Amino acid sequence: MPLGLLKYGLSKEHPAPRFFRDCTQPKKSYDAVIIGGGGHGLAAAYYLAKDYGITNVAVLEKGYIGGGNTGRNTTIVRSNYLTPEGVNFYDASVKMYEDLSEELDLNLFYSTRGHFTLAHTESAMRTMRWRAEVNKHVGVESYVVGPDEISKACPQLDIQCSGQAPILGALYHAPGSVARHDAVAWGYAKEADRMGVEIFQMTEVTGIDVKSGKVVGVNTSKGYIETNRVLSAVAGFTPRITDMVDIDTPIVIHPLQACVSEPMKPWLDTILVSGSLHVYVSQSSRGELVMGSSLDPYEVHSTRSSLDFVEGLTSHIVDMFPFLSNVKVVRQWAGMADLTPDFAPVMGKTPVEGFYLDAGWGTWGFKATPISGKTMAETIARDVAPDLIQPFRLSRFEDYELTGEKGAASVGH
Amino acid sequence: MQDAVLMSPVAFAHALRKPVSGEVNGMETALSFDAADVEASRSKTLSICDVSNLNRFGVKGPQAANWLQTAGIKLPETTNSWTPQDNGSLVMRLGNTEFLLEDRPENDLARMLNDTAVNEGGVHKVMRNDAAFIVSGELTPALFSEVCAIDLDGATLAENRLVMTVIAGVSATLLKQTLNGQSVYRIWCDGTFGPYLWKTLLSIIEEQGGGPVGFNFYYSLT
Amino acid sequence: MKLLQCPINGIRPLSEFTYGGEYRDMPNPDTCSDKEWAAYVHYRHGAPGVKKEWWYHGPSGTWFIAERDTMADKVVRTYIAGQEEAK
Ligand SMILES: Cc1cc2nc3c(=O)[nH]c(=O)nc-3n(C[C@H](O)[C@H](O)[C@H](O)COP(=O)(O)OP(=O)(O)OC[C@H]3O[C@@H](n4cnc5c(N)ncnc54)[C@H](O)[C@@H]3O)c2cc1C
Repeated sequence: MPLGLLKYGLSKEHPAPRFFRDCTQPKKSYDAVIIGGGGHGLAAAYYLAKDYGITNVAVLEKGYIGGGNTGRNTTIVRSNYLTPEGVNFYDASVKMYEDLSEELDLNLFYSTRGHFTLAHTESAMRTMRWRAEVNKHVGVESYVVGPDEISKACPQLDIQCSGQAPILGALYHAPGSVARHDAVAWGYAKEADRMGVEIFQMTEVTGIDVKSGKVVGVNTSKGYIETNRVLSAVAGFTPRITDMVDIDTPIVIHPLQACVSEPMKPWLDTILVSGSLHVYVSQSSRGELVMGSSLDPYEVHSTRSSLDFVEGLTSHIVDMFPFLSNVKVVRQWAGMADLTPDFAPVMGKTPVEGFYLDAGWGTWGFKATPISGKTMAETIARDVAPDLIQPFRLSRFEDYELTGEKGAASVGH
Repeated sequence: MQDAVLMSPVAFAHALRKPVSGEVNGMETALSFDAADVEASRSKTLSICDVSNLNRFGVKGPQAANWLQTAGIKLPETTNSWTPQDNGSLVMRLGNTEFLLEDRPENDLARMLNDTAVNEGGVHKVMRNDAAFIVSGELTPALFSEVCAIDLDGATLAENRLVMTVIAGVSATLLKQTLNGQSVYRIWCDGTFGPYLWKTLLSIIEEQGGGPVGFNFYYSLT
Repeated sequence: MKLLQCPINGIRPLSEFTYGGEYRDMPNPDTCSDKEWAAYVHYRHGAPGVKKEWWYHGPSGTWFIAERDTMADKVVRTYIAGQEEAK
């Protein structure tokens, strides 16, 4: 080891700049408290400060920032959903992502690759045409392509899928992108901190104090904090937080797993998703193939991962790319996905005054990080949810006004 | 109009092997795949035979056991077991109140029951469309260890026990019986999975030096 | 959890089973309010704990109850619905 590196590592005056202050003890009170230092919580803090000048804000994170699903996802960003409300919402997010590196002054490695959702059956083709029409109608660039165009974009793909499930066509979505997920959390943290937001790591919320239907404070592992506004942005931990305020939701937790291969020279430009084979794959800027599959089939509140998952996933990847049979999987992991019955999030106000919910992000919430931060900041600042997220309100379940996003969200992320 | 002749649910998978086919119980099936001595030696190593064409009768409901007993049928006492009738027909107990009967080609029990009208509550006929196989040979444990998650050696299938499990990803019912003096395994699964299961098992069987045998090997009709 | 005990068929690999969700009591549709019914249809208790769940053994078609700790993923016991005393 070079001596310089050793000296650097042991030095107390760490020469590298910190991204955000090392806050340890929260103040007695804040204008707003955000539970969860994932991308969503940090983005909400950033837009509260930037758009509304609300900077007396604490973000409380029980582990380290970005250590939840934000740092565990496969980073696919797209807007080719099925319902107009979904397409509009995710399209707003994609547009924000395109300028985000500049805004946060941090390279997010945001890389627009083009996204193919492969169809192996006539009925899948029908859904692709439907999605293409809805997308076009809303002004999002998606269209149906045939096997030739897919082969041109990805000559390595076995269009016959080893004879098991020949590819008939695909929905092509030009804006489909990948990004560096940690950087998104760190970028928002850095800028929120610069404007005065305090970020507390290793600080767990253990209770929420509600008096006469209104939030008055939170209990934490570092003591009591007074506040009238609390945002819960805790993804896989949402039911534990909503239990603290006695709110019912449809959210259930299933693990979602992913893995990466050993690094290779760049060969896969596009993002490929196959609902029939339950896989999606892209190549990261490090050269690793990032691969994911469908949800684990039953509720578990842990981030253990399993051999069954890699076995199932790789057998399908090899159907698509037979030449990968000698490539090794080098890491696998899981996150806890917070699922809703209609594959859309739960956002906005709740029956408890001052308690705001940003949840139900399941397998698809990374792409929504900027827009959810922005719209939740508006909801907290004005105590009114903007129109863009009205379709995702919690009360939709009582009103039987569910969204119909399943067809586009279940495996595709 | 012609009289319809059913084909075994596995018929298309057989066809590749060009068997001698014929009709038994109104179903076209593979009678033999090779010379008798070749099939006999396969059956000692490892072999598979399609017997989907045997007649079957399924029945369930709280009164099903009574109804069968009234018809003079001997029933297995517990769930997941089977018992032979004096004429050789098999009676399997698939649940507390569900039964499956299967005839040998020369018997008529299942056919008769299928033709009998049920006029009472608590007895429901169950339509069957099984693919059914006989697997035999000394290498059978090696075959099952590749396609079954549970250990089928030893006690699991002893003494008229019956097991419902997954074989090569397909839900199946299994038992072990003595047929023509030979100890064999019987497998039933949904007919639509039949060709897949046949191909999957046969490919392993051939890797192990075995092969297919025809219906006539076990049930010679001469 | 890799193995699960079916009360009828014994210990089997998890791949033979399908998860059927948490066991829940249905409110009387004739007497409950619309709100109660909507809550029954849509809401779930998502927090971890020892839960009573429906599971299905596919090869034999057996539905049964498993009491499972959803945090540790450990099954406490399994039984046929309505026969829990017998176990
Ligand atoms: C394997 C996998 C692949 C995915 N792939 C994609 C994809 O390709 N595209 C896509 O758009 N989405 C994807 N997702 C979904 C996406 O990752 C999430 O929806 C999104 O990251 C949620 O962000 P978040 O900030 O809400 O939650 P998180 O990043 O999970 O942050 C929540 C934070 O809250 C903290 N917390 C919890 N309880 C408390 C408490 N009591 N007190 C204090 N802090 C607490 C947690 O420690 C955690 O850090 C994937 C998810 C997984 C698991």
